[in-house]
Amino acid sequence: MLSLKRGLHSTAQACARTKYTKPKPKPRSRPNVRPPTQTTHHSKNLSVTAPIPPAASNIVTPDDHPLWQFFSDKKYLRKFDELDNDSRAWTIPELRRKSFDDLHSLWYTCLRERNVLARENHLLKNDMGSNQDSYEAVAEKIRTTMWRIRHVLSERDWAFQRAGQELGSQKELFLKEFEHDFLEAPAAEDEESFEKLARLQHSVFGISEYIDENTVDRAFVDGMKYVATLKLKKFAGRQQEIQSLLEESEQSISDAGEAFVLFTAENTEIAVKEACDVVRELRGKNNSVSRYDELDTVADYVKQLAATQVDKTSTTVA
Amino acid sequence: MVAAARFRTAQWLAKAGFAPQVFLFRNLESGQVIYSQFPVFAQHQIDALFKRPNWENKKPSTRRDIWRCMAVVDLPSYEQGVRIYQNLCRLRYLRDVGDLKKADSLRKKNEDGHVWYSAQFRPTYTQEAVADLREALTKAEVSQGEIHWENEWRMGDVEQHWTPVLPQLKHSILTRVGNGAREESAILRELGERARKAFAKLRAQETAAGELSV
Amino acid sequence: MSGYQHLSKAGSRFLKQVEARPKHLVDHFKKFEEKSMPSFLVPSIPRVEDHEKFQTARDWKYMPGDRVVVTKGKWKGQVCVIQQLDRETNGFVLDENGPTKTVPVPKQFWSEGQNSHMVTFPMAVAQKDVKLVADIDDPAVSGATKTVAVRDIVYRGSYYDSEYKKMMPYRCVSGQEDLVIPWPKPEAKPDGSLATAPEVAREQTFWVSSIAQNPIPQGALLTVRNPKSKFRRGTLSASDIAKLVAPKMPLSETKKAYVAERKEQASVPKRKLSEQDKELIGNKIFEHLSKNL
Repeated sequence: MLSLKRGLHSTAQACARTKYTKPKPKPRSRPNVRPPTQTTHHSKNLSVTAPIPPAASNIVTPDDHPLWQFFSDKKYLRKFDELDNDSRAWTIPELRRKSFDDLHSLWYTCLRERNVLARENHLLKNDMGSNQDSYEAVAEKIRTTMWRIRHVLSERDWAFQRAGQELGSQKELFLKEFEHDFLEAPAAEDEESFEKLARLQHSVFGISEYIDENTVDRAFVDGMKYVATLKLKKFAGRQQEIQSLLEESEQSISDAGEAFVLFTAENTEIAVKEACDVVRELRGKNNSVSRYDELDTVADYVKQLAATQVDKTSTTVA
Repeated sequence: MVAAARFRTAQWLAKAGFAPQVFLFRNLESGQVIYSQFPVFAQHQIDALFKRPNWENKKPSTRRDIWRCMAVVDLPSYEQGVRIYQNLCRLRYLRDVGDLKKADSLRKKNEDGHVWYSAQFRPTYTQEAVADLREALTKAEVSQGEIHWENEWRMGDVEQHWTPVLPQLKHSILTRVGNGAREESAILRELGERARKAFAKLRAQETAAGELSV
Repeated sequence: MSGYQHLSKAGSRFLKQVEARPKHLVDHFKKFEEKSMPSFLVPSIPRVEDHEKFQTARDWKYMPGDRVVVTKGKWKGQVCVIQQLDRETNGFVLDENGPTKTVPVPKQFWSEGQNSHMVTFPMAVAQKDVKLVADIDDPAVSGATKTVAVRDIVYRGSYYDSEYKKMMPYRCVSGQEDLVIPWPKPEAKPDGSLATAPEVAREQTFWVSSIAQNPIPQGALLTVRNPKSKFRRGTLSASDIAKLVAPKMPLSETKKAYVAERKEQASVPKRKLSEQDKELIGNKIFEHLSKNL
């Protein structure tokens, strides 16, 4: 492209504007000029101002904020004389008297208090650079309570396991003895006898009186059979039909289905007799539970029974 | 070319479907702040805003994980949006170059006489950005508008700093439900969409009013 | 100090070294400490180490509220009441009849209403410098009591003290052990905020009711004890044994060469002196002896 700037060495002088040259004519007015796309400009009076610091006062902490659990009475740091320096840790004999639920809640109470103390201790040591051990001393007492809780629970478990081992040989003897006493008791003392039986089924077989609390295992089924047999024997002397059923089943109930019917029957002569009829019916239909799926079947029965009980209570409430 | 790669005029923004907004992003590591016309930023903004980098005010990188949205300013018109952005850039220039001495005298210093810092973090930059935002809005005489802050803490004392100079300006907090860091782009997009609709509505009302008066 | 020592033990061995002052310098440091400390902070009797501090009432012998007589020094013969125990020095702080010192106190430590630099402080008295004062029945006059100082006390048996809320030993007069001097009544204090009411603490809520059901849920047991703990297993696994038995040291090159040499020497058959050799040796000796003797 041809550059218009090119010329001779004298061209610049010749073209230079002097006061004698004529002014250039004004450009012609254009009919449609595009307006500038950028029209704004920054303000002319801007000045540097002081930084605006963030304000914590804008933030409102709700009273139920979960982190309040780490504060005592919403205090940043308690004073040393506000701490409980005199109380001692729970002793092991004291803890032995407490149920699992009590110990469990005590554990969490301790844990929460230690959280508060640990926070305060950290601030004291880290932020203030102090070497005071006042918070730690209280926390240490609480820690003592906590390990003692664990100790007591462990002790209980060992006791349970040892007792289970030692019972193994004496269980049969004990049950025989109980059966003897139970059957010997006169009819007038029926109520007390059956209360004793309920306690026995809980203590030896772990069967709770509330059907829905039970988990069905081998001990449960064995206990059920034992209780069913005992019930039959108890009323056999008073009712001929029961006596005959007992003789038919060779002095003990071994089928889980039959045992369940008898076990759940009321502790009265009439109810047991009705149960006996049901058992007969079952035998007539040749309806027996195999020993291999006893546990599953009984678990189903228990679940059904619990469901019907729930229905019953809900309808009575309604 | 990406939208944020250069300065955009009001007309361009309107045509491209952006809302009349200005965005502030802060650096989590250093506390530095970037102003942008878009819900994103690019090297262009960093180059424009850090004219005199030094050891205390290093030119930050564009790493997306260390930048968080600090505030979004909704404005009544595109022209004002651009104006505010220009004001902010100018103020940054004044702080770094034009009025360096005054800006430096306002900063908190440590015992060595340097800008107070902890590791790489200098909180003064973020606080200066808040002050600059107020200054930019005041000098541009923005009557209406809304600032969406990342939290209540950041905006400073409203009664002391904002209400006396900008009484009509509204303040609100960006939603903090869910993972704000991950969903930042979605949140900003939604904010932009809302602002664009509000602007369209306002324009429609204005034209209707104009027609009525005619 | 990093401020994290309550959380981490990092660097604690080094700190222990720093804190353990050499024995021969302990007295020197103590002297220096006394010289450099302002007089109102210097205790009248030396501070004791942590492990020497008295812990129980048995150690202290006398409790706040006891009357004692000072047996040594300028205040010898003064009968005072113990105000408090000074745990730093194992001493007793006595009431206004007891030893005091008047020392200057700088202004930043002034208490309210103070208008002089000189303040009178009670001085702690060591246990060996006081004797217990008690009222006992006068054997001469029946029904009257007389005040005596007890040379020493011994402890015989213990009982639950409801004032101190703990087991306390019976304090008897040494040499006349049927004479029991009761502990003074402590200042009544309200129960702390963490305290449990005694009736709640004593209430029994755990009863053994079943031998078939564990009193602890299985899930809770795992947090109480590790059922697979190797300390309960009773047998050592191969990896345990490997950890317990030290590995055999590898032999060095020199040692190996030595062992090989010994082996080689051992494999060579032993030489025996033949008759011919014996003859030769005998001749040699005979020759030597005949020449020299």
